[in-house]
This record gives sequence, structure tokens and C-alpha cells, in this order.
Amino acid sequence: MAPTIESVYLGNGGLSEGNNKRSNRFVKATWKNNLTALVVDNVELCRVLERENLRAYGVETVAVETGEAAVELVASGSTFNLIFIDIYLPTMSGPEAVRQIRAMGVRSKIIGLTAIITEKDEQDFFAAGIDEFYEKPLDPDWFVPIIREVDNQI
Amino acid sequence: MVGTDLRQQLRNYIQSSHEQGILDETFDRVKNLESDGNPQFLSEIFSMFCHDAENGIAELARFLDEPVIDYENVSAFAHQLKGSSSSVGGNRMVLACCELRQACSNKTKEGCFEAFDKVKREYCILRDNLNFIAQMEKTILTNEARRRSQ
Repeated sequence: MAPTIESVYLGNGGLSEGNNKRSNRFVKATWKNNLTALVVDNVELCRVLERENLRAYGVETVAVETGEAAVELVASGSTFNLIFIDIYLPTMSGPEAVRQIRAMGVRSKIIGLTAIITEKDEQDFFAAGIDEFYEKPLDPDWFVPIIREVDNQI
Repeated sequence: MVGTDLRQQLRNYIQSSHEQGILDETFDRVKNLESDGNPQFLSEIFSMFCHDAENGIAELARFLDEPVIDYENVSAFAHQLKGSSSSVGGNRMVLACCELRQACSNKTKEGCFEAFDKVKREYCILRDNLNFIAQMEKTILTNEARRRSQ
């Protein structure tokens, strides 16, 4: 059964008139599967917003601050359909974390994130094993089709 | 009705911020992440942003105060500031950060100083905008709670 999108996201900056502001505005995506995501970003603001954006679209999301934490989580057996990871992380870089995660045999969709895409960063990150590379912030125009694709492939 | 007037005022204010290019559609998405379960969400997000931005600006000031500018570090902080400001929908501040990064690529001292001044100006405008929005929301929620209890 194809996933259904019950309503379209409305870019309305006004306040809700009633209860449950979030549900009035967000896509009530009904995915075929229970989808999970891992967000890896050392900037708290970005990490929180990335996590909340994904949760708003029905993806159960965990967020960590470092590449080491991401690698440790995956090594401990946690599985995620999607991984969103910033390129610039302290100590263990995004590309290094991705290399280690891929070396464990993980085939999840990995999306690299950055504030500004440069050619070199793009080459490095794809060489490490990401599937896609986007500039922040998360935009439903590009991440919803990715979620849909992952949902359809399960 | 007062409540409706305040809501309309807030909508008008946000619309005006959009028209001036201070905020973009990302701001609307952030605002819509707020739920009844966490009415403080926006305030928390704005606080995080201001904290990060002020730290970033302080670091930039430090690097730009050096006799020899470390363009790599200035660029790195401009990159980080761009990421934070784009996450809250601070369109004009994003553009200012990009200009600073470009000045670093060109390794022009004057260019960096000018672009940094612009970053600081746009940050102040964005901060004041976000603070006003957060304050208006708080007033609206307080008034609604008061009306419900009457």
C-alpha cells in the first residue's frame, strides 16, 4: 500500500486557533513502516530542530552530539532507517563517523548536512559513504521524498 | 476581541519581517513545531540561537582583532553562524554570513571587517525580531490562560 499524506504542510506563521498547534500544520504522514532516524549534530540548536522536524513528520528520531556517540550507538546494535549527519563534528568528523558506520555493514540511508556545501566537502563526504548531501536547514521539500523512498524500499 | 487583535498584530509583524527579508519560510516551519505540550519551545529555540550567535560573534571579533587575520578560523565561525541563522529562518543574517565567508575566501581584511559589521547588524535586527515575537506569543498565551480560568 502506498504511503498516504493526509494533508499538506501549510506555511502559515500565525498561531493556531485551537488545541494541538502542531497537528494543524504538519503533514500527517502515514508511512507503511515505523521509521527511525539518527541525527548527529554538535550544534544544539540545529540538533534540536532537525530532531523535531523529523518527529513532526512521524519519524522516531534520536539525536546525538558527536560522531563517536553515533558510532557507539550503531555498534551497540541500534538500527536506523535514516541517518542525518553534519560534516563538521568535534574530534571525530562527519566523514570519519560515516566511514566507521559503513564499515560495520550499515546500509541505512545516510544524508550529509552542512551549512555551506563546498566541492571538496562534497567529494570527501560522498567518498566516506553518504547517499545524499544537503545544506541545512532540513526542508520538507527534500527530506519528505527521501523518507518516502526509504519507506517504499522496506 | 483583544486576543484576536494581538494574534493579528503578531501575524502582521511576522508578515512584515518576511517582506523585509529578515525572516524566511524556515521561520514559519520552526514556529509550527511548537506544540501545546511545549509552549516554551519557541522561546527555548530563540535563546539557543542567541546564545550560539553571541558566542560566534565574540569569537569572530577576537580573530578579526588579531594583527594577522586567521581567515580559516573566521571562515569556520562564519560557516557555523550561517548554519544557526538559517536554522531559525534568519534570511538576512544568512546572507551576511555568506558575505563574510566570501571575504575570507578573497582574503581581504577590509572586506572581512565590512562583512562582520553587517553580520553584527543583522544579528541585532534578527534578535530583536525574535524577542518581540516570543514576547507577543507569551502575552497571547497568558491572556488565553487567564480567559480560560475566568
